[in-house]
Amino acid sequence: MSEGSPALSPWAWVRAVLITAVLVLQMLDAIPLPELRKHHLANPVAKEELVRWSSLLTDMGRPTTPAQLAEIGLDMGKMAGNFRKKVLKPWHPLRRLTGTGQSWGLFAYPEPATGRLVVDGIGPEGTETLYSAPGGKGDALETLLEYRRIRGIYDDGGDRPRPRRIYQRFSRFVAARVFEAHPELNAVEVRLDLHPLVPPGQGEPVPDSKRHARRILRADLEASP
Amino acid sequence: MKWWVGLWDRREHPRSLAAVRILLSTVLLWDLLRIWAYDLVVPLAGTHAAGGIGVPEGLTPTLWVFDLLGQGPGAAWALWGGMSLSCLMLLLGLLPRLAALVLVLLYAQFALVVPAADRGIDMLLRNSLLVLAFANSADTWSLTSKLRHGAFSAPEDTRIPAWPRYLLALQVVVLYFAAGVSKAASSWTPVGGLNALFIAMSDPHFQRWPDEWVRAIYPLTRVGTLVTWVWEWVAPVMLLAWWYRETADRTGRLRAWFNRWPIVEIYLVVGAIFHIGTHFTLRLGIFPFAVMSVYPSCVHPDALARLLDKLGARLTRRRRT
Repeated sequence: MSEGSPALSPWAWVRAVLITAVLVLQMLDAIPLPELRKHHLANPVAKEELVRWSSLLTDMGRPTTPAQLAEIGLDMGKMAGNFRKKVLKPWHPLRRLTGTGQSWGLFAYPEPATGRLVVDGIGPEGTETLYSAPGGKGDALETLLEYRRIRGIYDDGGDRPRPRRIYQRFSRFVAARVFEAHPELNAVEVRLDLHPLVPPGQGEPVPDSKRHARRILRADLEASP
Repeated sequence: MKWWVGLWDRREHPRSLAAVRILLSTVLLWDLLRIWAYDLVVPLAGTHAAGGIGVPEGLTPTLWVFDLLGQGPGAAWALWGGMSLSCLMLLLGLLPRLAALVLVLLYAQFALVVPAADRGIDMLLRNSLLVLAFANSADTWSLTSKLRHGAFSAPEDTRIPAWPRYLLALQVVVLYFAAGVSKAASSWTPVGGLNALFIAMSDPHFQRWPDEWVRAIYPLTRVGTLVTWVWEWVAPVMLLAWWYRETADRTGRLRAWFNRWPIVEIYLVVGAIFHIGTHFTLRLGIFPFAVMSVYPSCVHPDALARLLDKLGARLTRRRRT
């Protein structure tokens, strides 16, 4: 065990109080309260989850419809969100200044309707796929696109029913890099194709479908970089 | 009450905290160097006007780093350069507290430039850095120690406050437990067929193995899903183990059983196997290594010394044979 001081100084008491306050705030932040919002329920995975859990509750003798379950979830989510917001509000400036927090949702909702980033180069010779996740060529474009921070941008900002605004800027960034390396190309298409996953024994594999295509022309990019 | 105050007043050898400092700053420095190597300093740290992917100039309140340094590409380089320099200083143990504080403040600004590029693991690193800003983590295995004692390793009787290590150890427990509780999707449970790991390993953005391979080991991925979920949920067992070690003089069968086994060490070994396993099955960047860099905080400095001695002796024996 660590060695303790024989007599506790006043500073030891002050330190203990400060640490206790920090611990209480961090624990409050860490508690995974169900902060559900309406837009979360628009996600197909959430809809499937509602059907699954409501049928489980019904089977257990508590008849519940997906709509009822959603309502309960939204009410609880609102309460939980408001509570946490109120308690942690005074500390928000400090959290922003230090970039600290305790929200840990590591792969909390694995999405079976995954996305696949595809980058096509379009030139006089036709269209060539320069990158299609998960890659395999090991070239500079692949290394760039698979760097965790860049992946975060398209996986978080683009791989969703409606991409965020950053997806357009990301597409232009990728196009600029591709044009630099391929002077022969005059357009680049960045897409996040829908790639539905079907576990073995649960149906036939579903082919990818095109989604969120952004076509960037060299002329446009050069006119307004 | 006195026990609680006394707990945060304890002192111990700086070895464990120094290990966290070295591992954590190495992982982060590696990540920062990759930003430079991929020519991403301005795209990830710059304003949109300078050529950045984000639009930090639209934020309210504004970012102090751009208020101070302007909105040109120079500000992005200064932000990245400041982070890298302070990270290097922390690694070497030069003005470590100041370096950790500067790093955490710059890192927080960097996170706001392109929020989508800032992942959960970055928050863990910042949380840990903020604790290191209050810790004497460079009292051994550092240039500070070399200047003070004439040796990189501090004398065995060196003592520093233990509370920063306790906070980091608690962070490990909270991280895993909260992550386990957050895994509310049915795919993590038998209700949803325990498909979570299969889905993650087949997601083209994280996939390391070809589809056919993942499909071939589908039953194994289901076992892995269950083990991951259970392992994260039982993270508080470390707290219980520490408590039982603390109160070893009391009676009780469970306490005696816990104290017969190195529960914390077993939990961490399983964790290391899990993280190294995910590194070889999923492309998660620095995630596995960054999490494991905080592990030494869960090990008492004396236990860490014994472990390092054992490893050293084994290596020496191997070299001789």
